[in-house]
Amino acid sequence: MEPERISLSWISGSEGAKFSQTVTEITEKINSLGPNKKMRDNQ
Amino acid sequence: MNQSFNSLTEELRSVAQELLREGKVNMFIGFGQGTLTARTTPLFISKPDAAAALTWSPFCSNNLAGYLLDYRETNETIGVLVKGCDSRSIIRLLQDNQFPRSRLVVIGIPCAGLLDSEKVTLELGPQTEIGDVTDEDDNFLVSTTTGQHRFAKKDYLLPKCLECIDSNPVICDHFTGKKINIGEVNERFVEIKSLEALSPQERSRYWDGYFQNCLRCYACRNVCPACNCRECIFDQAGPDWVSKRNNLSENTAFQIIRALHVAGRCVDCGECDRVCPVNIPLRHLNQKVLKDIDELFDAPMPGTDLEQQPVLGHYCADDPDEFK
Ligand code: SF4
Ligand code: SF4
Repeated sequence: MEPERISLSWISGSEGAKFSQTVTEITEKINSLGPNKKMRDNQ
Repeated sequence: MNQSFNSLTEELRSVAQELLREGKVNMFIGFGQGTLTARTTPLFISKPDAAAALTWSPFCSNNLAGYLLDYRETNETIGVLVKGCDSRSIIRLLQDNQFPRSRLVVIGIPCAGLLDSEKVTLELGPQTEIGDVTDEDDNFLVSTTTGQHRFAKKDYLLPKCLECIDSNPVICDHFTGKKINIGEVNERFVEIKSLEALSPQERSRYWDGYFQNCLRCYACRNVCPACNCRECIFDQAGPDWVSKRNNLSENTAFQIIRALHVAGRCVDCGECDRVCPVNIPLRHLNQKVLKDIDELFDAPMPGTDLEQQPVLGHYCADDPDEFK
């Protein structure tokens, strides 16, 4: 699997803005990578 | 040192017989002669006279500590024979309260390495009967019905034994034989370092080649003393975390989950790797985790010290790393 597909961030319950920003960034990155081909044999 | 295995076997038999006769154990778990050349089999004895069927040789590969799990719910006191690597499993089981110390008698034996049964059988032929074995430090001298054969340890030992860190048990109540010193061993994690150096694509190709062959027979799980959950995720019908379908995706998910579920409990006894019928190098997965434990946590091999808190099993308020 491309290492860019995996991300780990520590975000506390009070850091709403950081959460939103992190999710947006990950979504953009995943969109640019296109569909994942690995681990999809069941679909 | 020219230690004869037959004389160690004699000593072991009398220790087991004594423990059973005095009622210090209800059951003794050791090794008996296998039906094939160069094979032994786990032996469960509860009568003193049956101790005569026990054997000890460089073919006693099984890690018997795992069988304790079958006696968790009984009232029996169990005597179990362990080599250095197996004794680490005993410590991890005790630390996790998987077996009560009060019902356990550990019989330790020094181990100068295990011979690879398959390689030795190829050399000797399947009909040959093996008699005594003598440890000559660099070789094992094996007496058989077809004469004497010398097996160089560097060529015939199981891979884990070439990197052995505990040739004497780290925990035991009765020690059989004399403590040994096996001298220099190979550097650990050499193969792991070369796997780490591959690109993700190359590493994926390496593992895909193996994982596609996995039969999902779960022999690796069944043999493992660290696999001691009362209900295994791979047996659960729901939630369907991993499907039971046999394909590369599901096999990969199985392999990753298995390796991470035993993280911190795996003691590198190598049993999963030895029993896999399709020769998947499971030790490479476990050793990656062990290398991380060594480097990231600066912690010793799990099971080395009863007093040391398990690396993933404790919490301390003054953790040196920040919460980021
Ligand atoms: S022993 Fe080998 S084939 Fe069987 S489930 Fe484990 S990895 Fe797969
Ligand atoms: S994962 Fe394999 S090497 Fe580790 S304790 Fe279990 S059987 Fe032994």
